[in-house]
Amino acid sequence: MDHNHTHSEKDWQAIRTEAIESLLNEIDVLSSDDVDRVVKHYEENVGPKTGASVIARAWVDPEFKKRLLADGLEACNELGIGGPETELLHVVENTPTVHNVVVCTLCSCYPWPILGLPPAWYKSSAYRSRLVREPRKVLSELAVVLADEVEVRVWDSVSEIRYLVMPERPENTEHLSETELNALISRDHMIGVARDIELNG
Amino acid sequence: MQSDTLLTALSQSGFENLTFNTPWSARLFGMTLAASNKQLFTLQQFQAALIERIGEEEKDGCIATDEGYYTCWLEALQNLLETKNLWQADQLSEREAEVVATAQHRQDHQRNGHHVVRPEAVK
Repeated sequence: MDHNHTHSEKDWQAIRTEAIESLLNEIDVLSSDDVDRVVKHYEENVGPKTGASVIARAWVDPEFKKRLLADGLEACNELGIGGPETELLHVVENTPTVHNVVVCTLCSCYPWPILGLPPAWYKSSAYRSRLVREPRKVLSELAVVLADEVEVRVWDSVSEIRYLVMPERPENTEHLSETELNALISRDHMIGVARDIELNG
Repeated sequence: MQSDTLLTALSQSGFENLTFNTPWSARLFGMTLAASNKQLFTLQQFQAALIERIGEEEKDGCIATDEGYYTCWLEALQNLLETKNLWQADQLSEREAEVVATAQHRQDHQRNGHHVVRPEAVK
């Protein structure tokens, strides 16, 4: 048991964050309810399954897919998905000869309203610096081994554009419903650090 | 250049975390988006501040953990807010001292056997 009464157990980051929020409350710039709403939304409503629902719809609805590739955000809005955090969404499609993968080299831009929060590794210096320099090697470390004839396209989210990878629909899935297809798609497929989609059962 | 491999970063930071690792990073993220929604600044301005802070951090080393990343985020937000002159220079450090004192008081209270009926929300 800690008997040290002179030190708080809070991290300095927690203290500073709380102090900033308290000051913003005090000067009526922001209420804690405003912050609560954002946190709750991201903890409970938005996540990779949001993005998976977009991809599954595109797989079953060719017209939707065309609209999604033409204007990602507008098509997502049709499904009630979106938010002020993303202004432009570019959906990039994997094909037998193209593999797409997304990074943000300068910070960690990510399509929050579509995929939720990025995983910790997406924000790491290692991923951000290495993916652009040696994408095949990084992908192979993540068990995505690409044949030489497959072109790798790395999309860097440094401007206002956010990217979402549309994986290829696996073969022999014609009998699956949109919900069942949704369950096959992971966050990593939509970032591009996974390629093959395994059918359950 | 980076000496650590990606796999090292993955193993250190936890591959599967989907939301926030700490309560303060959740508040920080929420505060940033809420402040931008209230047009205190644009997300592009915040992004520029974050890029600058991460660039400084990576001159000396790597960001390999979620905590390291959100620490940059916190400092970027602080820098950006300080350009808005919303409070006096020493107000933030005074408020931090109050936060520490409140936490300490609560801790002492609990050690003395008092029960906190309503856990204080992080507000």
